[in-house]
Amino acid sequence: MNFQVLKTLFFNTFQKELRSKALLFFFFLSLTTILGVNAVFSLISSFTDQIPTFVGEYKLSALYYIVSIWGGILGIILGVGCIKSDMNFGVAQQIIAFPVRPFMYMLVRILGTWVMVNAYYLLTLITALIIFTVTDGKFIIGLNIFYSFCIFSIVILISITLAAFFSMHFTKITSFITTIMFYFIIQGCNSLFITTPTYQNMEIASSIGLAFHLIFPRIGVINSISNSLFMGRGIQLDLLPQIIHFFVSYGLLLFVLFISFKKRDYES
Amino acid sequence: MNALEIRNLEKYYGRKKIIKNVDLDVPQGVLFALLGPNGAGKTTLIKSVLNFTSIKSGSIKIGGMDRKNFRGHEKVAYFPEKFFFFPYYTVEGVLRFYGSMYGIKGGLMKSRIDEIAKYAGIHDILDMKLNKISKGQMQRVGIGSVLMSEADLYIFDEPFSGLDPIGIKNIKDIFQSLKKKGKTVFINSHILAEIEKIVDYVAIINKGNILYSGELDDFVRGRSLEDAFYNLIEGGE
Repeated sequence: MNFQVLKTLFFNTFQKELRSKALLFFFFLSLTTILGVNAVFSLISSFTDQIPTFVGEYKLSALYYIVSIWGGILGIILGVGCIKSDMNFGVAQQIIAFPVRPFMYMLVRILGTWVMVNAYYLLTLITALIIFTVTDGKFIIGLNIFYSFCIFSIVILISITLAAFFSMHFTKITSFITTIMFYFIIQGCNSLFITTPTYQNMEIASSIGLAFHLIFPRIGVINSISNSLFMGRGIQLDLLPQIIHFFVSYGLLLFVLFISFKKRDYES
Repeated sequence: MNALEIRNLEKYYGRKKIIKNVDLDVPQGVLFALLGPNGAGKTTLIKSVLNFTSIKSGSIKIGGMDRKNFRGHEKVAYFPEKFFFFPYYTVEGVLRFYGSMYGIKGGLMKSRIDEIAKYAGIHDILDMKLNKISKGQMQRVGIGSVLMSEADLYIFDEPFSGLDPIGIKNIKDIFQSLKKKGKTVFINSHILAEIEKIVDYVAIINKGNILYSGELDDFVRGRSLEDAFYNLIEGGE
């Protein structure tokens, strides 16, 4: 595979997404929310001097959720458009006519978008940590936060891929809503089945939940690992089966996305 | 070796057979036109050649390589019926993107862009964004983009669409100069009067069947292309 072709496509993905107003909008939205949360917790801690540790932990937890939620939503928004917009502009079939494998084109679009969202996520996280460090006078930036970021970036990758898959079948808005629904359903199923070792005497709803837990990449599990790392807690899970499950289920998701992409004749 | 070789091609949309056991050879270094009425299967045939769509059966070889082999796509450049690109790109940006995708290295890029821009008549709009140029200019940008490649086979889908008489003359000159360089030009067009003046070979497709494939002179036999085409399609000649 020609490296120059892949590089050109990768930077083209950047150019495409950098023009998206969503990036700027989400950054300011995140910044406003972080500043708001910081102000609220500063106010609370001024009344509750006797439990500053609790307040600090809640504050850190709130920071994690804000940055992650906005990062996840941005991933879904850009994921919906990463291939779909090529089809809408009539560019997809022109790109497929180049000497590039359709699968590689699809993969480069997804990875380019993933790098963009990660850059946003990292920037927001660092900004938030700096604000919290300055206002609390405590240095809270550590390696655990970097590890947490790395793990959460897997959730972003899954969100982008899921969104790109739904965008092959639905309109942009429907794809966005469907991806969010799936995100929460998978997360719910993961939290239910990761702690329930016996699968006997299950009803239909539980069976469907189990299917979600088994088939899709485990957003809920990865999220909880990332959260634990962020909060400096230990990981209670056996990681090897989870890593194997991720590679198998994500490979399956990519394959299904590719089949959907090929069936579209690369046109809108 | 033929520039394009199609054997026993069949393509369905749902249960409807769109392309029926098509065999087609496009020799190297010729100007070739695929002609047919609306809905005859011309666009589907091109989509099949470029691997934009799956086929039921048969084989398609570009320069001796299967259409699914992406290396075969190094030998082909495609100009779509409606050329589009991201509207925020400048004309130069589009040429640069196409050049990079066709493997032109940084040092040669600028001179190649200048050469092609002059050739396609877009050198004075290089700095303009695509959302600021006219339909005819967009068509020229598309043609320029395709010419950035050093392909052996150029496929043009309705290249005269949206062009003024000067533009049509320019593009016919471009086709002739590509032929002089030994390149194969495959044109899908409705404008028979223009096609007649330039091509060497034609294939006539109707209802998914190739009715004729060969040299233009053998097909028209002293008539106009329009008459020969009409007689074949309507008269069942």
